[in-house]
Amino acid sequence: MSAFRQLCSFQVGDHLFGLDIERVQEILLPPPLTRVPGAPPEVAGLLNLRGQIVPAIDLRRRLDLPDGTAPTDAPHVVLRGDEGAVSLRVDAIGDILPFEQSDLAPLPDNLRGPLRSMLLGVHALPDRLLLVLSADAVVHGLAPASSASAAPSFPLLPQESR
Amino acid sequence: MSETPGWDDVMREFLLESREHVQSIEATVLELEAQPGSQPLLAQLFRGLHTVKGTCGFLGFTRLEALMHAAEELLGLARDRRLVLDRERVSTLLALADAARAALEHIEATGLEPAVDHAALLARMAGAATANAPAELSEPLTPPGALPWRGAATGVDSKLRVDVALLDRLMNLMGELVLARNRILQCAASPTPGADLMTASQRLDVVTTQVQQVVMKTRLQPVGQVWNRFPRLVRELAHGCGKQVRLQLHGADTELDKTLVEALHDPLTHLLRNAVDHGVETPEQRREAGKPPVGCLTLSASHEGGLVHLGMSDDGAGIDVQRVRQVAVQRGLLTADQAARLPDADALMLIFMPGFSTAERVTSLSGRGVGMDVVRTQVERIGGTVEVHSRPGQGTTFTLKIPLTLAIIPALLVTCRGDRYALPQASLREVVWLEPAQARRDISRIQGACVLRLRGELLPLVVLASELGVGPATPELDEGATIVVLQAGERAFGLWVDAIHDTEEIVVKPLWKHLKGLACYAGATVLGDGRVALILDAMGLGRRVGTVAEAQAQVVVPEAAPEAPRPEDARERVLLCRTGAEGRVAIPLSRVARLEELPASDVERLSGGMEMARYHGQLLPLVRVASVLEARPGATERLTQGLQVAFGESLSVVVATHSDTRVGLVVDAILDVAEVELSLQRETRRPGVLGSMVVQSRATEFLDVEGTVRAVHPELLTGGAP
Repeated sequence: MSAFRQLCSFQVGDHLFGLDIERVQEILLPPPLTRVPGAPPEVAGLLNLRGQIVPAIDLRRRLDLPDGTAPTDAPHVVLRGDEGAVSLRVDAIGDILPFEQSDLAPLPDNLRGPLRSMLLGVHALPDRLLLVLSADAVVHGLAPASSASAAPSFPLLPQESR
Repeated sequence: MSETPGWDDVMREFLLESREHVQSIEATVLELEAQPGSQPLLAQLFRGLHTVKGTCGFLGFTRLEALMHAAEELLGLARDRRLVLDRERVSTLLALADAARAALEHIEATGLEPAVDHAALLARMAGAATANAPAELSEPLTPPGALPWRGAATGVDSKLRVDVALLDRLMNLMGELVLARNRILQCAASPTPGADLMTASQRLDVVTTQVQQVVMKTRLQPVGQVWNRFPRLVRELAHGCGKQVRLQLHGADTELDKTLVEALHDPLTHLLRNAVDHGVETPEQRREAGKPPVGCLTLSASHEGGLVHLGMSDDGAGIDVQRVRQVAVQRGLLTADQAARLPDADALMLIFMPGFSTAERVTSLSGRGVGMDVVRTQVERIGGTVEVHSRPGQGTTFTLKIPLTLAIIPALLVTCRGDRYALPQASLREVVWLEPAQARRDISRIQGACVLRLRGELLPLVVLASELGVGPATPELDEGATIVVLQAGERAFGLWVDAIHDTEEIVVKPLWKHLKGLACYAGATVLGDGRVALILDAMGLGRRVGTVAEAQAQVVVPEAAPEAPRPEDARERVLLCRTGAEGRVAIPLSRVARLEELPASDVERLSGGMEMARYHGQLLPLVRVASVLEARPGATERLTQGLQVAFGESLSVVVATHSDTRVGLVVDAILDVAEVELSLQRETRRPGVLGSMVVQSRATEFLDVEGTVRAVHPELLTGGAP
């Protein structure tokens, strides 16, 4: 892969994130989502992309950012992947930024939590930081949905009346 | 090799054709074994070999050509009646077919003939061609179960042969579809679409339906596609087990969807293996039983009521239901009493439980206890069901019922908290709408679990909103209730939804892999308005109805009209007792000899902590159930209180029998006798408890009588009375 790349940047919460534009298939205006009860909380729902059913991930939850008020017109960044497209719900779309591999600074050691495992590195822009996301880590690291809610357990039942 | 234009096409054609020939050579050889010396079959075989030999020579695959030539020599002798195609010679010819198949695979992958030395096979062939001496087996037979082409679902199988007439029809329809689209686009662009759009969309509807039907047809495959591998498999298996088995095929041209044909390969193979290994007896056993020495396996297929019925029956020994019961008891799946009460048909279904095997020994073929559950899972995954019937001494029949196709299915749309879901109509039995008054009368709630009385039947209800975690467990009855009655396997249940919409043909798409663990969904689909809807899985929801089914069994049955006949299958009468402060246990009534109130003064404490009661002139050893069950932290205080109360007055004693020994189980109070459904939840792993269940809407532990006694006085169980 060449050292020169372009990043598609977008805003989630207080942060500016970037994704390799090679992995971005398209940007969607807020599409109608169908929620999936029982799915992990990071799954925002399913959407219809020209007949294809695409899962949508709420990137704010996925990155474990503090719950904020996402705008109602939150756009989606659709990633292309080996197993079909996956959509990411973000707060706002930013510019396309040129990027060189050497710009990528390692993650600060004091950054912990789920966010750390999904970042490739940090790119220091003149006025702010751009956090470079790994598309694979965002999509594949998602925990599989657990099946079936638990059956009522024994101790929860009321006591015998005398 | 691609320097010649069209070479690739030639190769593709060669591979496709040769594979078909090899397949038919194999089938013919097997037929010849059954009727040796049949001239038409020999001629057919000869033609096949000759064609392959010819093309191989043309393309320069000399090793393959030599193999085919050797086979021709052998067959030439057979045709001139100078030798008979006995079992060894047939095996040799089959080995040749395998070698040819391997060579073709290699050619497909690399374009070159494999550098395998066929000398051994050629020698064997030459040996077989000597008229007198029966050929020595210079190579071992392919071990059964390790047939080289087991996973042959690649290559040719990924291509389809389609009738040209069908393709022409499809092309015409595509033309019509394009016209219909143009018409609709034009209408949409006009400022006043009105009636034109109406007619155009109707046209589109008609054309789409036709396209769908024709495409469906192109995907349909005769089930014989799966079956054509079976005669060989059965032959090898039978030889491996020292048995003689004949395979009959009926309805091989019955068609079903390509994906289903492939999905059925493994389950059917497994059933065949089982039938040969366990079902059919050895020739000696069969003669003793007065049957012909050659066993008969029959595979049949037919279309019935929109489903494909696949049957597989053998005329073997049948499944020993008693043995199945014994194994179930040994495995701790059922108690002896439960097993004895289970009707034969239900006991047979136990063979589909994971890890269940009645085989005394593990053979190379089966008996490891993996299998039948996998068969069932795979068949259910494609929306089918498995049934088994067996008659001792006469054989076993498995029936698989499979839908024609999976991709496009009719579905009922329902809503739940504003979201729409699709319910496949295959599992739909009926739709019930209850007025508020009716709902209040016919829906009973038992501690959160709802039950519907429907024409004398009691249906457990699943509240969709609560199942999905988006609503309360019991909706308000004042708005009435909309219930969809679903059939999931053997079990019927009602799905309580918010509202019902239209029916629609939906295109099933699989769920994203991260969502596949959700048992209540079978996939997703795009609806007419472009929104995505989840497809509900009746089987998945039905499996989760289990706890509800148990809860309803006891409480509502006595209230229900007596004409409500319910299958009294896995029922057992139990004695309900209270032990400790809050524990409720059920003791199987079959184990109870008497109920007694013994004065506390009659109890004597022996050294070693054993308590004895004077009882009908004898001494009755006592076991305090509470002391066994309540052996958990935090229960001590309540326990001692309970005992003090009991000591002051009298003891409630359940006299239980264990072989010849009598034991008095001391409980705090005897509550009731109840009849319960025997489906225990086994998450409890406490001494003295077999499992827990819901009886009369309360959680109740099922007492393990032996376990309880053993926990306190193990000596009582080994010897007689002390």
